[in-house]
Amino acid sequence: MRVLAAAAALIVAAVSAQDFYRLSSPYSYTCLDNFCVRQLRTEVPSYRSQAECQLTCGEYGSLLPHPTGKVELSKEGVHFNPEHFQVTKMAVPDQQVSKMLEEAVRYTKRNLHFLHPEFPSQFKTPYTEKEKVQYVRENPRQFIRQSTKFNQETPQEQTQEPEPDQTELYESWERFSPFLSEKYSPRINRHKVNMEITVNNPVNKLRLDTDESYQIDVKTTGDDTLVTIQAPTFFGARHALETFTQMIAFDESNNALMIIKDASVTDSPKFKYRGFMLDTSRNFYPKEDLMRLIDTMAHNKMNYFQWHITDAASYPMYSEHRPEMAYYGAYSSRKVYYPEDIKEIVEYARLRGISVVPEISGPAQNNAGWQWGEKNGKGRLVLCAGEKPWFEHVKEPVDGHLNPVNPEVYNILGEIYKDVVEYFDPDMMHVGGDGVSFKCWQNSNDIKEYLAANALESNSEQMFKLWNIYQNNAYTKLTEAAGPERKVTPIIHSSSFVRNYINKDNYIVQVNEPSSDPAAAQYVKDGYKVIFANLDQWRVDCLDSSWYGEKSEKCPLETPTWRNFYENSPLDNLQSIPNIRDGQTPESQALKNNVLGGIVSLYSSETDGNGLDTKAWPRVSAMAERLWSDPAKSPQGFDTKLKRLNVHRERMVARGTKANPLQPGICLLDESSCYSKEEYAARSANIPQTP
Amino acid sequence: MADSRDVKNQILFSLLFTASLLHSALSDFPFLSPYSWSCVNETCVKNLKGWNEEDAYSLSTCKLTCGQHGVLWPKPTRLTQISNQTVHFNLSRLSLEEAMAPTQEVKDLLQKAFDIFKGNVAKGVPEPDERFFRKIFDSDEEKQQVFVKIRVSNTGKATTLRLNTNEAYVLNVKTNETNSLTNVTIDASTFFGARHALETLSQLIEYDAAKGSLQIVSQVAVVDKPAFRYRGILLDTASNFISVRAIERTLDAMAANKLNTLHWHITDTASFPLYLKSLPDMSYFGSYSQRQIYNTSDVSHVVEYARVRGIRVVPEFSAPGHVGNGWQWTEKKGLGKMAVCVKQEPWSTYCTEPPCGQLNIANNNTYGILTQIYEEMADIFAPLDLFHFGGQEVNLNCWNTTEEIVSHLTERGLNQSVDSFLDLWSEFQSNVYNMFPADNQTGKVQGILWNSQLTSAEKADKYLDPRKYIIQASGSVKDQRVIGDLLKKGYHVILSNSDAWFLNCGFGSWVTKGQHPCGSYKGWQAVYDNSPHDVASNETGSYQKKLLLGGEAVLWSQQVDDASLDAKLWPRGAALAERLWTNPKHNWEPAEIRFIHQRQRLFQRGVMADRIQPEWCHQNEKLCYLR
Repeated sequence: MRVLAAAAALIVAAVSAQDFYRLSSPYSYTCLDNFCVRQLRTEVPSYRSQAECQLTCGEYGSLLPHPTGKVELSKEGVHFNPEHFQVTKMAVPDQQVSKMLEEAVRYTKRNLHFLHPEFPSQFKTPYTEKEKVQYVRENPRQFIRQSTKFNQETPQEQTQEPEPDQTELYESWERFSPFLSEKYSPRINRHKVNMEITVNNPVNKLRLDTDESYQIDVKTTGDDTLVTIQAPTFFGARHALETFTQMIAFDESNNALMIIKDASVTDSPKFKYRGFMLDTSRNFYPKEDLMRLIDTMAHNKMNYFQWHITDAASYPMYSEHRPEMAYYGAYSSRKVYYPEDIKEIVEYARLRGISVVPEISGPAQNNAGWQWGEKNGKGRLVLCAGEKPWFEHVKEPVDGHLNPVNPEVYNILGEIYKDVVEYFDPDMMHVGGDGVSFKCWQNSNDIKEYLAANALESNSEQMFKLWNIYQNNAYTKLTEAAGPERKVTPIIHSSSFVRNYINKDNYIVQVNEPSSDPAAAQYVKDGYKVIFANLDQWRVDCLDSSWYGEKSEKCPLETPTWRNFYENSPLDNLQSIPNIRDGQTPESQALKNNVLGGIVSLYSSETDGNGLDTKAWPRVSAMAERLWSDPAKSPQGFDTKLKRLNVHRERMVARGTKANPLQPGICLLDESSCYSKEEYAARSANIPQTP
Repeated sequence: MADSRDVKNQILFSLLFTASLLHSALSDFPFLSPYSWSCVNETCVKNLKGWNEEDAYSLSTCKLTCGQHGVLWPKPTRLTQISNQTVHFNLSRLSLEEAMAPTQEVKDLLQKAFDIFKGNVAKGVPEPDERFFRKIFDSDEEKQQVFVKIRVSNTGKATTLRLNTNEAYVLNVKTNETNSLTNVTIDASTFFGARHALETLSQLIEYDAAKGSLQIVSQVAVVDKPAFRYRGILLDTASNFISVRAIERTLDAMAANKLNTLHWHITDTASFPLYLKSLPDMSYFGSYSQRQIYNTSDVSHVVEYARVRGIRVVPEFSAPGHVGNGWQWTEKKGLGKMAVCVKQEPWSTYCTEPPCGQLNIANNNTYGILTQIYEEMADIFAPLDLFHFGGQEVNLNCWNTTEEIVSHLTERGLNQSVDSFLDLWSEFQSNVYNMFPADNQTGKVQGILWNSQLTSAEKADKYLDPRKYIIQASGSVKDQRVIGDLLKKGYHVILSNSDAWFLNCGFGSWVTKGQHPCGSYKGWQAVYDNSPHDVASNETGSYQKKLLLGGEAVLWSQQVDDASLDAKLWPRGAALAERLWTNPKHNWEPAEIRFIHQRQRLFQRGVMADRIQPEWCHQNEKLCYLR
């Protein structure tokens, strides 16, 4: 007690001294009811930094999405310099996985350096090999340091080449790291964070059946912290590295990193498909924007990037079989994705545990890029491309449908599909299926002639049949493009066409209907595999959506907030199916398995790289926790999701994503200062007031 | 033509390595784009061009010259004549030939403004893309000169912007084809008009991707002056910190839109990021972290950065409401409590949003501290034209439940009625107004106050002198009379109605479920169509051109910081700018094409302005029309 008092007196003395402004902050933090409460340093017996409090306070600390298995976090943290983090042991099944892991570790290390608030934000750009190579070429001498090569245990025979010398180059971003010039006390400088990673399975491309589970243990003895990661696949290990970075924070009190002293977490996702759909046609996104999106998805343990690469407005994908498409269809010669760009993005995603699902829409939403057909003797490839006011047929500009009765359309489609399969190496491909206007077809001469020639009526039944002709042909072309070795499963938007014409075994259905709509339950009952995309809850681009005069019909009247993103729950939306949540019966389990997951949509009418981050994050992080953790409703007023989202948002910003703040800074500094009325009521009812 | 092709071939030969990067697109197709544009009925219409066509009329050339106002934003108010020709020139041949001004100080300002202008033009030239060669200049383009001459009249000695500063200008561009010379002349009464002219000039220049060089409209005449004197943006740096770099970016974008006032809401209950030499405790206790502080040098940098861009900075020190963090130290120093109700629970009883906090106006020491704050602020924000005293959202219940204040009332023989508290508050207001130091250059500083209980129709006369205060009105004009009564009583008014000009709305409540009280997102159309004159006319029967100073868009930053600032302010701030500069009779529809282009321009200059339409609509004008 006397020691405590003395310490307190010392602090007071220090504070009252004239130079007290050198202290970084006059506050200390205490974990109270899962929240970090701010107090004046002079009023508490021992100092505790905000970083330490936030890492360890509450059941999940600052982990997001929260783990689904065991979570044990000690209440203390230890300081270290990120230069002293290294992998000391890697047990992997083959060279390929080893390379991927090395890359993931380098990326993790970079994210740790980014935590320093003085890391210049303009250099937090997507991490590409090119950047490194270019830098090394320019500065061959300056940035050489001692290698920290870890010993590698591979069951295969040693294929490792002997190192020419025991040095390696500093990575390009490293020269900006303020950690390299920080001075630390010997205790911090001595501290090492060593990591051992074990992966059993050689799988190196994420598919729907890939095991993404992992276990991570952190144990500190003396000056050493040992982090052990065990995962069946690279993909689980990568998620473990993500969790690892979330056990670390920057501590303002001494400008070092802090890691939770001891921790043990086992984790696996509740849903297999945790997707992000981005439309790069209505507005173009430079490659770096897509890479940043992929990075941010990885920070949220999302795993499918659905790339809506083309649409009626522009055709930015360069196809080697059909270069005309981009020549006529891209916004400009600079706004094109070349094959090497696409392959680079697909590889970039793979290393972050993400597979890319290309989306080539049809039969609607086609216009830009198809203009060359008639001039080159291929007939009209698209119909309704600008002959009539767009609103006669479709819900928003730009109008245009593929011509289902022109066989050239399918030949070209087949060629494009071939390129798509080559560039993306996908396991699924989205084939569109929304926005089809029968009126467009019915008004066009090509269709009128076709109907007349075949003595068919111009009614909706015939139009459905036309659509079916299109879809069957497209399916055949896709199967041909995939070849005998590979299976590419098409994903299609839900519609009455799907319900009546689409074989449940061949397709996956993306359900866009509002969360309250019974359509999803019907698909599941009928045995379809579904991905939830409820556009009333999980769409990020609808802020105003009046770009052609009035609010788009697809946009909800009220912009969904992060709470909508969090609370929309696929299994809750399927409540009409007995036992769907617990899957207790074999039938309900089988149906539950068909619920693949969910996806957020960003149609880019009013968005490009400038607004992307702000609109998407951290709202999509809330959805990411829904899909990874599928949390049950927490008792009102006691959950930590908002405070974890706040911390996670800061973390994303630190890594270079321009995520929007959800609350004023004071709500992060003092987590007890911004509660809602409901939280206040719940807390005052449950917590005995201390006099 | 043959010559230049030879040059091209030589370069091709010498850059074999780069040539290997050339994509097959170029070997397949001879042009960067299969399209050209022509001006039909003031609209740029996209056409397919023949593959062998040599004369490409690019989109930017069309945009510059098509339509009465080309791509000028905000639209000039008096006269705009734009020829349908452009001439190409090299950036190095754009120069300031002459700057005539009554004083050296003004001359220096003109030189700075010209450098900024030239920098903006340079930003229009894209980085060379290694995949494509840029076309080589024709030899006569190499010779083309652009000379700029600026004349500020003899009376125009002003170097700080005041409410009565003349911002008008006349701009002429004349090209003489025989001697490859383009003469630009700018005439203005003050530096501020002249810099607006340079802004207009920058909008008559575009990069031409087909030619790979800059181009300027060959013949132009513009006569222009703003409709409103006060054209502002509010930046709140207390709810979340905003870096100096982001403030600079905001000022860049404001200058590009001829907005002239940055209202800097620098402190609030949540944080006190302003470093004060005389009171370092304020930011030590009140800032979010040691890195999130505005030092004295930061403030003077911002003020100067703004001044050379024709913008005044109006600092706001919120009082007596919206005060809390930063005042924690006073009790320990024996000065008593200065902020009351801080973190009092439940917050909804003591303030409109957490965290709560108000000044303790019963504590006499509070005035001592406030004097220090005002004096230092007047010093570091000099030269001051206007000062915002806050005065928003005072919660009387907070004072009514604070013992010290209640007993202060009793001592003075006052009861606890609403009127007593309002008396007390107005007494506070007149005290701080009198305390506020006069500016060396500009004399007594005029005050601005938010509308409040003190400014209501029944009370305003009693409490506030219209000669001392301008009132900033923030209510929703859909639900209430916001400025009518004030105008009738002779107050100068700045309109910031929440139903159109609150740019922070639409992102959901940040304390609880559901939407923010200010409702949905305000689209650019709503921002554009909000006319102060119409509001005044609806509420008083007249436009009130004398008293209605202008307007201000407000961006409260509870859900904004560096990451999202640009996308939330822009391009909607540009819609505000045209309303306040041009005050057009028409609604947003005729402005749409120019507006989209202005967004592109802001993006080019490094502002992360949000998109408002698919790029398709920029390339296919008037096809994204209203149903």
